[in-house]
Formats: sequence, C-alpha cells, structure tokens
Amino acid sequence: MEIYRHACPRNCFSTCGMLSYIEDGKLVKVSGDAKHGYNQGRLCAKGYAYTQYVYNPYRLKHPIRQTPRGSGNWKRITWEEAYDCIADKILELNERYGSNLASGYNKFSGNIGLLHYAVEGMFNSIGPHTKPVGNPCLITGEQAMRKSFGQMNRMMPEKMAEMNAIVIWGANPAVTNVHQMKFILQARQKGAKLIVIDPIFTRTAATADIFIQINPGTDRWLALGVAKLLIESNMYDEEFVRNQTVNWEEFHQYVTEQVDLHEVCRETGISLDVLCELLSIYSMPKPCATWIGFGIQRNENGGQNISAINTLAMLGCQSGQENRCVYYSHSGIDDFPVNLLNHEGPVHPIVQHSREIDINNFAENASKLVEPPLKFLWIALRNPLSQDQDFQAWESLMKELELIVTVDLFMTKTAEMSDLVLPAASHFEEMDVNVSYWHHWLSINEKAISPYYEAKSDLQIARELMEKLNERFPGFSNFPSEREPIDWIREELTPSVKKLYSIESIDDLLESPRLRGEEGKNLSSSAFKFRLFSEENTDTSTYSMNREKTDVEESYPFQLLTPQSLLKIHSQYEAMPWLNQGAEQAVVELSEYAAEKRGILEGDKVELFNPNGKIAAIARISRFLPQKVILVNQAGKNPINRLIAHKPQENPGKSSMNFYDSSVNIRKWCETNG
Amino acid sequence: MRQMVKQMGFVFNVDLCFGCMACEIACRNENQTDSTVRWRKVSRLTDDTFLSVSCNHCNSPECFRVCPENAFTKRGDGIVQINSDLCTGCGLCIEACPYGAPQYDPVTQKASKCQMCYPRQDRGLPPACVESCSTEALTFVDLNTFCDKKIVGSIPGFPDTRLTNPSIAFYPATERKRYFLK
Amino acid sequence: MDLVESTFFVPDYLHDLLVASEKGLKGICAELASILSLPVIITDPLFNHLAAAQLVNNVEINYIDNQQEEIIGEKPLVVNCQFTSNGVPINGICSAILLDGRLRGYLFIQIGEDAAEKIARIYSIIAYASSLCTLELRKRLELKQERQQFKEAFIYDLLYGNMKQKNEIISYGNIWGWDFTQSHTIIVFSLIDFDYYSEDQKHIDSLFYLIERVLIESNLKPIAMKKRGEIVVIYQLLGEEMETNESVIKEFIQRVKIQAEIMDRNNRMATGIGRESSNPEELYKSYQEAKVAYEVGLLLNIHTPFFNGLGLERILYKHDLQDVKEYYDHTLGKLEKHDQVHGGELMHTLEFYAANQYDITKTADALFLHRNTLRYRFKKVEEILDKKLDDMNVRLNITAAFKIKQLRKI
Repeated sequence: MEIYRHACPRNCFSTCGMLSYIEDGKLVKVSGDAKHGYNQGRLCAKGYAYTQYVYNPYRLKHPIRQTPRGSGNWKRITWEEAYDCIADKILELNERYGSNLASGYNKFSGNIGLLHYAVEGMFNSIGPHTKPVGNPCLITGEQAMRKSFGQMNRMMPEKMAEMNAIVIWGANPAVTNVHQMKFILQARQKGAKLIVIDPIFTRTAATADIFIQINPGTDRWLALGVAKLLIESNMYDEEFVRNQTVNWEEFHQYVTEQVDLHEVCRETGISLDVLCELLSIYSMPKPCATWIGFGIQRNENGGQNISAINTLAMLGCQSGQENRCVYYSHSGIDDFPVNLLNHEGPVHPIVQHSREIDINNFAENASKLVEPPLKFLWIALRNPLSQDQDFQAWESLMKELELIVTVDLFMTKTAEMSDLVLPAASHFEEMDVNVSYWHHWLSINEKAISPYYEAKSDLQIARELMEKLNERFPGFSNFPSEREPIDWIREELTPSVKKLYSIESIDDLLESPRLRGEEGKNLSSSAFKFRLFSEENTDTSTYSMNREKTDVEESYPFQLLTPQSLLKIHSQYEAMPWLNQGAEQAVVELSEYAAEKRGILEGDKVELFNPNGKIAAIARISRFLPQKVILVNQAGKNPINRLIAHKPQENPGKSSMNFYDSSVNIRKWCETNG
Repeated sequence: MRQMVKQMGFVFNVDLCFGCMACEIACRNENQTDSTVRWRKVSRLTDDTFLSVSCNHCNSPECFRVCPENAFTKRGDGIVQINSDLCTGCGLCIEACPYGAPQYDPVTQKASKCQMCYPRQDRGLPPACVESCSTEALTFVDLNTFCDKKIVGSIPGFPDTRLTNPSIAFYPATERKRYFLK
Repeated sequence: MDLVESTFFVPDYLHDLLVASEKGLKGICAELASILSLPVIITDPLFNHLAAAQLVNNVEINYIDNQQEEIIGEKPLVVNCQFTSNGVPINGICSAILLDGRLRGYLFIQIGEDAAEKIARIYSIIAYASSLCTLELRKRLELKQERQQFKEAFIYDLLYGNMKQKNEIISYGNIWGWDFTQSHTIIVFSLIDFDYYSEDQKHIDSLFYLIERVLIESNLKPIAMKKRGEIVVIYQLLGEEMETNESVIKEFIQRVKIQAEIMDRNNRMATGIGRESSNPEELYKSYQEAKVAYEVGLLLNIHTPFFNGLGLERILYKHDLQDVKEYYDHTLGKLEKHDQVHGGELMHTLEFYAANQYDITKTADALFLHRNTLRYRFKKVEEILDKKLDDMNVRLNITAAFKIKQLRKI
C-alpha cells in the first residue's frame, strides 16, 4: 500500500492535512495527517467520505457537449474537440471585437489550492479580458479588521486552547470548522467559559456554557452596549486607550450620547442582566478570545458590527494587550507570490486593462456590458446557479452568451446550463500546495492516483488549451505551458516563504506540513494604533430604532438565513451517499410564532417566496428560532439562493455578499399556488 | 496462547460531542461499508446533546443469545464478532439488539456489525471512530480495569442497559446557561 | 587429545534420547524402547499409563520390589518389579520419576527372561531416561502454573463457546482438576441494579470469595469467574437425577444466600440457573439460559429461577418481539385502551384474577372487593373483549398476555 500526503482543498477554515492509501492505483482509504498540527490526524465527516467523492458514479468522466443548451442532450466529445471548439470561439471573438474583452470567466473557491489560480493565469496570458473581482465571502470583515487594527491579526487558532474565556460571535465551528472545536473544548475542560452569541441555537451554541440569542444583524448594538457598561463602570484599560487608540474622544462621546441601554436591549432582544454577564467576561483580567464569524458581515451593517465587537474586545481584558485576541481570518496567502494569479499577459495595443466585474453582482453587471458584450464565459471552481444570488440575472446573461464552458467534477446546476462541460480532477489526482485562511500551516498536495477517466486539473487544462491557441495563432497566449505543476510550486516557495516556514525545499513539505513562524508581537509594539468604533455613513442608521416599516417588510416579514449544513460545503458533496442519508427534500426551519401565524404544522409542505422566486420545502418547527427568522440550508435540488437578490453595493470588490439581508414570506403549499 | 480477559469498551463524553459525524463516516471510510449499513450512528439525544453509538460489545450480547447459527463469538478482549460464513441473514440479531448494532447488508444479504476495528487494535491502533474524534468525546478503554468516579453507566435517552450490560460508559452533560429571545 | 576425546565423548544413544525428549514422555519412552529393544512403560504414581512402547499385550503392573524404600531415596535405585501380560507374570525393572523429592511416576522396562548381567548394564541408561522424564514433568508443571493464570480466559471461552473441541476442554480442565467429562450447569449471581461505578464492585468481590468457599465446603473444585458485576459458576453435578440435582443447587444457593446476608444485611443478590449440560462445548447455552432465568426471575419475583422451571415465560422471553407485541395487543389491547380512555381499573382487576387462577373468591380477597363488584367488572371485560372469561383458551391467552407484560416486553 502506498501512502501520499494531501491537503484538503475545500473552501473551509481547516484546510486539513490528509493522507491517502493507494492499492493497485486505487484510493482505498483516507486519514488525517498526524503531522499536521491543526487537524492532528483527524478529518471531518466530509473528509472521511473522499473515497466516495473520487469514485462516484455521478462524477464526470469525459468532456461533453449539449445541444441545445439546457436540453440535457449530451454527447461525449474528445478533449481535442473541446479545445478546438473553445479556441475557435476565442479566436473568432478576438477577430470580431479586436480584443479578448468578450471572453471572461467566473471562478471562486471550489478548490483553494494555489495552482487553481491557473484559471486566472490562463486568462491573463491572452491579454485584457473580462474578469470578476472581489470576494462574496469574507471581505467586508477583512476590511473592517484592517481598519480597526491597521492590518490582519495573525493569531494562531491553536492558542484558543489557552484562553480563559472564548466569546464566539456568529460563528458555528461545530459545523463549519470542526477541528477548531477541540481547542475550544480543551480550554473549556480547563475551566474556560465558552460564550456563543448567535440568532440561531447552533451546534456550537449547544456546547456553550452561556448561549445568548440575539436578533440577527444587531451585534454592534450588543457590543456597544457592553462597551458602554465597561466605560461607565471604569473597567476598561485606560492606559491602552491613552496610548494606543486614535479616536477615543469621538468614541467616548458617541457611546455616552448615542448608545442608550434600553434601546440596546430592545434592538438586540437581550436583557440587561445578560449584558452584565457579558461585561463580567470582558472585564476579566485574563486571556480572552473573541471570534467573529463571517455571518456577522453578511448584512449591510457587517463592517460596523465587526468594528464594534473589535472595540469591545480591545477595551476589556484589562490585564495587558496580549490577552486581547480577536479572531476573524488569516491571510496566509499574502506571503506567497501566487504567480498564476499574478501572471502578466501580453500588452494589447489599444485595450490597457482587463474589464473588472464585481463578483457579487456578476450576472447583472456582465449582461450590461457593451463594446464588446460578454460572449464567452468560462466557469470553474464555482456553481453560481446554486450559490450565487439573483438567478434571474444569470438567466438573462446566459441568453446573451455564445459559449459557456464549465469545468467541474459533477453535473452541477451550472454545468446543466453550459454548452461544454469539462471533467475536473480531484485533489488526489493533481499536485498542489495549500495554505489556510484560518490556521498557519502550509501543506503540499501530492498526486496519488491517475485522473479519473479523462479528468484533468485546471492547470493541465490551461496548459493544453493555451498551447492549442498558440498552435492556431502563434503568440496568442504567453502561458508557459511547458512548466510542470512542481515548477509552479517551486516558484511559490520564494526565499522569504522558505524562511517563514523554515523549509529548504519542496522535499521538506513532502515530509510534513509546516507551521508558519511567528512574528514579533504586533499588538504590543508601540507603533500599533487601534481605531475604536466610529459611526460611518448615515446608511447604517437604517437599522436603528423607530424606523417606519416599509412595504417590503409588510409583505415579506421574515428574514432568511442560509447557513452551511454539516455534511456539505455550499453545493459540494451533494452526490455522496454516505453523507446524504436522510430525505432529499429541502427543509425550512421556522419559529413557533411563524408556524402559528401561518397555520403550518410540523412536516407540512410549505412554500417560501419573495419577488425573486419561490421554493417548496418541508416545514420543521423550531422552538429556538427567533420569531421572524427563517432558516434554510444551502444548496439542494432547488437552491435557496433563488430567493436571494441583493441591491448593488457601493464599493465593488470591497464588500462581501449580503446573503442574510433577504426577506421572504412563507405559506402552506397548495397546487394552485404554482 | 490465550490472553488475559479484557473488556474493551467505549467511553462517551456527552459534553465533548457536538454531532460532527466524523466517527460515523470514519467508520465507513475504514470499513468501506455499503451506504445503507451504519455500524456507527450519530444521533441527537436532546436539543443540545448528541450520542454516537455502535455495537457496544455487551457483556451479555443478545445477538449472541438469539442467533440460531451461533455465528457470534465474544473474544477474550470482549469484542463481539459475527462470522459471516455462518450468518444466514435471518435478522434475529438485528431485532434483538437494543442498540441497533447489527445491520442488514443488502449486498451480502447478511448481518454485519462493528468489530471495534480489531485488525487495527491488533496493530496497536485505536478503532477508526476513536481516532477520528477530534475532541476525544469518544475513547476506548479496558472497562475491567478502567475507573473514574465521574463515569456513569447510562444516560437519559440511552436504551435500557440491564438486559445486555453494554460495554460503554458515559461522562454526563454539565449544566449550561441559555438566554433565548423572548 | 585422546584424553579429551574419551572424557567428553557423548554416546549417540544419549543424544538420541535427549532429542526424543523434545516429544515429551512418549518420545522418551519410544526412544528408550528402541535403544534397548525392550518394551517400556511410563506411568503416574497410580500406575496409570502415560506412555508405552513395544508392548505386545496389555500389561498390568502387579508390584514393585521396594521393601527398603530405596526407590525414592536420595539416590534412587533401579528395582525389580513384576507385571502381568495377558495373564502371564513377567519380570521387569523399574525406576521412580521424582520431582522435588515427590514421586511423580514410574519408568518400567519389561525384561522377561533376559540375563541379570545384561540387565545390570542398562541401569545407568534407565536412570538417565528417568531424569529426562523428571525434566519433562517439570516443564509440564511450569506450563500448568503458567496456565493457571489463564484460568479465567478458559472459563470465559467456555461461557462463550469459543472452544469447540470436547477433548481440548477436558484436558484443559484437568490442569485445574476440573472434570468436564461430568455434567455441569451454569449459575449466575449478580446484585439487583448493579452499578459499575459504585462500591458494588467490592460487594461482588466478597461475594465471589464467599461462593468459592461454599463450593469448597461442598467438596467441589470451584469453577467460577467474575465478569463485571456478575459471578458465573460452572457447577459440577454429581447425581443423575434432575430433581436431586435441583435440590442440591437450591441448597447451594441457599447457603450462599445465608452467608451473604450474614456478611451484608442489604445484600441484593439475585441468581439464575441454566440447564444441565454433559457436553462442555455447549456450556455457553447454559450460561445464556442462566442469564435469561436471572432476568425473568427478577421480573417475576422468582427466588431461585431455574431456566427449566420457567415454562411459558421461557418461550415468551425468547420469542420474536414484534410477534409477542402483536399477540399482546390482540389479546388485551382493547381493554388497555378502554382503561386509558375511561380511567378504569379493569386491566388491574383482570391481572389479579389471572394471578389467582381465575378464582373469584381468592381475587376478591386479594383486592378487598366484593364478589359482586368483581362479577360486574368481569362482565364488562367480557363485553369489551368480546370473549367469555370461563373459556379455557381465553384464559390461557390472557395469562400469557399478562406474562408478556410482566416480562417488560411491552
């Protein structure tokens, strides 16, 4: 039996070190890599199901083409034919419009290995084109963190085990970051208090010593309320405030004049007693971790919520700055050159830059493009027709597109609507190198088995397709097709990366994943200045008290929250029988209040609707859900994101998608509704 | 040569389990069982606790007692095994077991069940489920020698243990504070 | 050089004997017989054959000429003896096999009519062979002591039927002096509501000690083990008659119980007895039966529950759960439902009636009710169930259904 080393490349905090066990060229088993200090030899349920992922009867085996699009009339073609078809289109569009701006891609986080930036590298290599910018996931929070701290924190998540209190705001590691739970529960076993603040009684909340349920999106009120109590009772760190904050006066005045505790209680739904309980945690002169989940910033007050929580965390914990830890995310990738992403393409005589579209409004913006319109779209590492918002915009965009190519391992909702579908390799079938957006480990991903049937990695496809283009039109692309995956990895391991991770060569990574060295203590350096909360734009006050109810709120009184489910990541893993035991039907969770108002009983078939569309599901009545919250897990046969369409954002590329600002209504399902 | 009599058993810490299901799927990964066959099952015990159960390798296994083919054996280390060569798939053990441990395998048309990964144990490794548990909510010990005052023999929601004396012990859940919206 | 050769020369036959001793007493016996071309017998101290070689007929050992007791002295001598082979007396010589000064057996050579002179020449090799036998017996003894530690493992394997060979079981049993050619039955002792994680384990320890003592007092070699809150006794039955055996077991349990109560007044001891088995490889069945008897005994409040004596319960306990439930519902379901809806006590009344052999007077006394009240209630029961309570078959079904209820199957 051969054993290879891998990194799980899913869009997940844990980016686990993994071992594969190969017998006669077949993956027979996986296990966690005991040398990986974060997952410590374990995997999650999804990770343990990888044999079913690789050898799945639904996995795509060959390049296929359907005519007409969406008909399901698929025909197997050769890679040659696929490449020809794509090259024809790119060259023809180039000739038609004089540039490659009519060609574009939509790609996100289906595999977060560094070599999967091959998609960007491939498009860069043909000169200016149309590309998405931004990040639907966590960028609002990242901006807010940088604003508060001047940079991203580099706190090791393993250190949570040494804390005396852990306050989790809107994160649910028990579902989305399973391996963090051991550090949290280790601290708890040693006597630390675990506090979870969430609108939902999550699995993480269930493990907490104190669970505080909060009205969705009102976290900043809670943080400011507790901060006010801290200041009023003189329990904050005056020395810190004097020396290392920039806007104390302004903040102090704001808290004194604008933050009313009664209002805080009303907005958040939390009583004053509970505020005081939180005060006692934050004023404890012992190490205390605050973890801000991505859910906090999936609404229009996201940045403000995070800024307020940061402020509370920094004001409290008065026994020294090293006791203040705020966890959000780790920007491990910043250390790397990411050569594929930053590959410089040939200069175009007229068009200077690529066209950038905010990924959070991709379909709508892309369909508005003129001179030239977008005609060819390459979709990889993403399933927008399940996971993006505003499906109507996607439908109209697709009508305008002359060629849609999707690269995936499975026949996703998006693949179903493509002209060409190319089979992608799993991470056992390709080489890669991975860092995490949470922990500080660097891992190599070896190629353990040959690709499933005709599957290919994104990098391999880029190499071959660009070569094909250059055969047809010499010099069309400057992609270095001759470069092997291992060459790209070597180039990522720059001298500074090697120093940071104490490695000499790629061989060290084949021996074991490596931990990033710690830098000096950022927060204690005197140069560090913390920016306390300040109210920014007036638009945030839309959430403040005494506002009038809009018509939309009257007709769609329920707020839709769509968290991850345990055994999936977005729409990934849907085809694995081990992970899909129960009924395939979508489930809607609603409060007892909503159930009573709408006359809905447990198990009833219901319909969730708003102007964007509707979905049918089975009702599950929860005792623990806030009255006006409706909960649906992501993905499924009829993805819930159908109901999500958000207003355009002001700073393209600078904010996350406000998935949680969607209003819906619910009713019992009946035939005539349809 | 015979070994000393042991009773290997699971210890489940209710407080440390948050129902991540890694143990259940790790079991499938190790044993590559059919998708309908669940040697280990994670279920919700109460609103805020979970339970992970497999075969409990009982002191008085009902499966052993009811099997008309005498297909079950109890090894010296306490592991209850089923000999699939003798199993006719009659299903009596499946009905008799209070914990739903024996599972009908539609492919082989026989009963199969958790064997506590004895091939792994023989190599000095813990069972796959135990290895996979990131918080160590699930551990395994020799119950003949294991002792801890905080341990209890059963928890609310667990089937009656009197009949079979399952080789499982528990650390019960502790008190928590909940502040729900009104 | 000659000196070295002559001093350290080891004759081939000694070497051959030594090699043969690898195969135990039988090997020594065969090799010696082949070297001497004479029949050889090795016996235990009671002249039971342990090994024999080159015997023509069955040989009985008549007597050993040991008037001076020199055979087991400091330096044992080879002495004369006499056998009977096929009714004919034959001369022989004999050497004792001693281990740690104790007689462990004999080595006999049948010499017949051979000349005394020739015989004197073989004394030395016989003494040598006898020493080899001593070594062999020492090896066996050490093995036995080692195996002593594995007594529990052996009992455990018996209880779970892990040993399938009767001969293997019998010879293993011999190590501890247990005779598995005899019938045995399993008796299980435990404490009611045993709690693993309390001082109950200590109670079990002392109960175990007590049971062993009672067994020894009854002239039985204790075959017993502790198993997490349970004491399992493999009880040897000496008599042939089942009834005698039952009363012997009852007496044994009674003695254990009395002594346990002397030791601890709050003794919660309960027991269960399986069926007798003359095949040791099937003792595991008796163990399972004993446990069923134990459980049923607790449920039905039977003091000394013999699996054999359980009757109907035994069938019901083992029967398919679903089927039993259906049977119960079919028999008493309507009545139970009626009680639930109307808050009546008809089930309770009927249960007493069944327990009192369907005797109105006895039931009335037991329930402190007037007979007419009972008659009225039973009329109602008959209406609800649409059955006649004086019908024997109806009564049988009702009795069985209540037993199912008692067995906690419902």
